[in-house]
Amino acid sequence: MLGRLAAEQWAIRFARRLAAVSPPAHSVASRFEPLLVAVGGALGSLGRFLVEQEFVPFDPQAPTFPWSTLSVNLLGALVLGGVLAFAERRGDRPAWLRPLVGVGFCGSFTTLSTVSVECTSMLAGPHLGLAAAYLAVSFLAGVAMATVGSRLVKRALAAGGGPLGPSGSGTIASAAEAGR
Amino acid sequence: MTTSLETLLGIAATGAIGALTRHHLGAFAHLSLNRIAVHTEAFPFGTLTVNVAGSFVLGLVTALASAGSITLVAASILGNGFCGAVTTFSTVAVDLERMVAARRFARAAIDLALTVVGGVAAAWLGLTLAG
Repeated sequence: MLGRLAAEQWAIRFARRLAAVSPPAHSVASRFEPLLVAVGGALGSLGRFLVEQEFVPFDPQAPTFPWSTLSVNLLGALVLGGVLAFAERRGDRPAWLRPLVGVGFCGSFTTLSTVSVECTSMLAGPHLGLAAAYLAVSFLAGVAMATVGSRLVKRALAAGGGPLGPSGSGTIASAAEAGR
Repeated sequence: MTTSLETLLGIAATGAIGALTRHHLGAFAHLSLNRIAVHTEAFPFGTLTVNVAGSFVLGLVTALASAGSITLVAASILGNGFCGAVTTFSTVAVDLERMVAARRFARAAIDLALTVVGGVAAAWLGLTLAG
């Protein structure tokens, strides 16, 4: 028992020292940042297109509630909330997370231009109630989803975050991360 | 209706360009507009700029497609790829969430209003100019 604790303490100190000498998170990421954003953007756009194919297409002449756009936007807000919370808690590590998944994928998977054009058709209808309901649901639920994503990640990180926390196996890794 | 490989590749390519444009144009607009803004605290001008600009382009693309000036495949590639990627909803949602969490309600209301009114007005302008 004592031996295990001493070994764990040593491992934590070693991991902290390793983290201290490793290069800053931005050196590698900044060189590849445009590539990561572009790849994430390509995947996000394709993902959005493929998800939207599953829904009835929006008809500008007879606007109905755009469930397809709402779905991608809420899903993307949930993921981005989580990604940013993770990146901020972990000092932007892994360095590819924010440019690839945050800026690239989530940024492109979600869209505001479609929302704007859909609202324009609704207003031209005029279906003012539909436009108001669409905007209200989009932004209220969008903010709620971002909150949920962020809180889930913070809770998950906190659960495995203590240097000698309850989750035995994750202890060393978490302490090393906390030292960064 | 099956989607052609051309459409999928086009969406991926213009989506990548859209994401890069959002990242760089957004950063440029963010720095420039915050420099001339009255407040010292940064406002998400970058996201606002790309969202308004992208809404305008999608309005143009939609009107050009319905007038038959560009093909439906081209409109699908530009609309779903470039315009979809250059604009973003997730960043707006996270920005608003942070403003609300920091109890900056007026700021959140201004960001929301500028995004919605700016986006819809820009889309309407694009649709009208090309229609």
